Amino acid sequence: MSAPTLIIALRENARDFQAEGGNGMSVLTKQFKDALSQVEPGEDAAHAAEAHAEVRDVLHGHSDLVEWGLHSVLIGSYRREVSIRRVKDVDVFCELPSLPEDQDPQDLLDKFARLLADEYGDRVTKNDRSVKVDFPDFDMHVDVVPARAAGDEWEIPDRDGGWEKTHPVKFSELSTARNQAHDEKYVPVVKLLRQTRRALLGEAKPGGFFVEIAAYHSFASIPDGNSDDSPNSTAEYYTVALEKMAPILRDHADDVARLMNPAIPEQELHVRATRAELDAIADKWEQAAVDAREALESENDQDAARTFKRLLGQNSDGDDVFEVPVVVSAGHRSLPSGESPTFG
Amino acid sequence: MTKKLTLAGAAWRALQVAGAQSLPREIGGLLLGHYAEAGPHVTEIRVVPDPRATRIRYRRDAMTAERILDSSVRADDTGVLGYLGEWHTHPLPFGPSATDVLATRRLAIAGGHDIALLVLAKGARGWTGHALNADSAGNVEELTLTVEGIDNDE
Repeated sequence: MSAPTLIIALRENARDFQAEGGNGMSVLTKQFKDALSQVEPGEDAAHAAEAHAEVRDVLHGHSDLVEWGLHSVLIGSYRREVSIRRVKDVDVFCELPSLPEDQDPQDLLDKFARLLADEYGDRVTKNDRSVKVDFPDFDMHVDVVPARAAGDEWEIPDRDGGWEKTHPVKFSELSTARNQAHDEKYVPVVKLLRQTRRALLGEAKPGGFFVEIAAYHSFASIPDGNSDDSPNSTAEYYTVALEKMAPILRDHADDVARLMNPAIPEQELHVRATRAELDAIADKWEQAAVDAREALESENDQDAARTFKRLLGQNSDGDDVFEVPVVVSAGHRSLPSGESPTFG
Repeated sequence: MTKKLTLAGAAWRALQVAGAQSLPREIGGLLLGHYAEAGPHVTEIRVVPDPRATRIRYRRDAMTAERILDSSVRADDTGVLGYLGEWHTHPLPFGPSATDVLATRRLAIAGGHDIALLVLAKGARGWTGHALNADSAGNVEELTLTVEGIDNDE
């Protein structure tokens, strides 16, 4: 064939591809956009909204809680819009600013469990720090977390029978600010990073929240949207975030510098993972960062796409998150000869 | 492995409409699209009228075809649309004739690149597609025809 070969994602995006193809980087814009669609919660989002609204309505129907100034807010990865398919849980944070100071935290959890059991029966389970309400039709549960005021922050029951500081709403606000500073790239990249954790580590700990916190810290050292040095594609953002996160995860695994809760000064993040698991994620992340950089700087988009495909694995439906683009060559721009062929 | 000529569903429908409207005479034109790994991928077809076509003969006029190709390429916003080959109809249920093969081979040799030929033959149950490819050395091989969006085994 004499036609020039080029790679396109799909025909309709050939122009976009060509416009970006000259910078020597495999930005694979359409593939990353499609990858984000593949990890979107989909119908889980509607189920989560319905489940959490229902639980909040039940709680706000109880006079004791209302007297304690109940203000329930959605928190967690779903609130921060960084959840990926599937969403298995939704967190409802119940601020109780007028809760008596001597209220025992486990008694408080028992009270929430009883109130919710009146409505949901055996679908309710009391845990150490929250009360879980199952929504089997949605294959999802709502975690209800009661909290008392502690100055500008909040305290929730801890695993040892006491109280523990937290400020999930503030973390949501910090995440929103981070996202705005990075031209709305922070949230989608965190989703990709959470998906990468799932692809590389599966069900092993640490979970997606750990990765999100490391990503939050890593973005502090990525030039933001006001800088000329800011990454200018999702591919580059993703790669740089992997690179910036790798030493953070390594330091955490080696006890050199622990991951801190961005919303509570001086509070280390609670991570339920073994030493081996922390070493494993640090190892995987270092390799992923190297591989992603090589892919980003590759002149061969197909090779690059194959690497990103591996790093992003499959979604919960078993579909590949990242698609390798199809190689095509353009048709001919002129007829083969000036003759008028006759067919019979 | 036999190469494949893939047709977009809309292109296949357009071919059948053009063929039906021209009965009992032949009609033909250009196959436009790009080359995929499996072979030529036709996304659009163009009719090149032949007022003198009969039920056994169709002549694709070079000047008209060149003008149609130019305007198609100019209007294309994918960056990959171009000429892939020729098509024409047979109002009777016969595939490519010796004349068809010869004409296609001559085009491929003259152009120095592959030329696809698609013949739509009218049978009792509708139109059937027959595809072949000629390369620049004059070799001719059959192509498997696949239409997107329909069950090709039917």
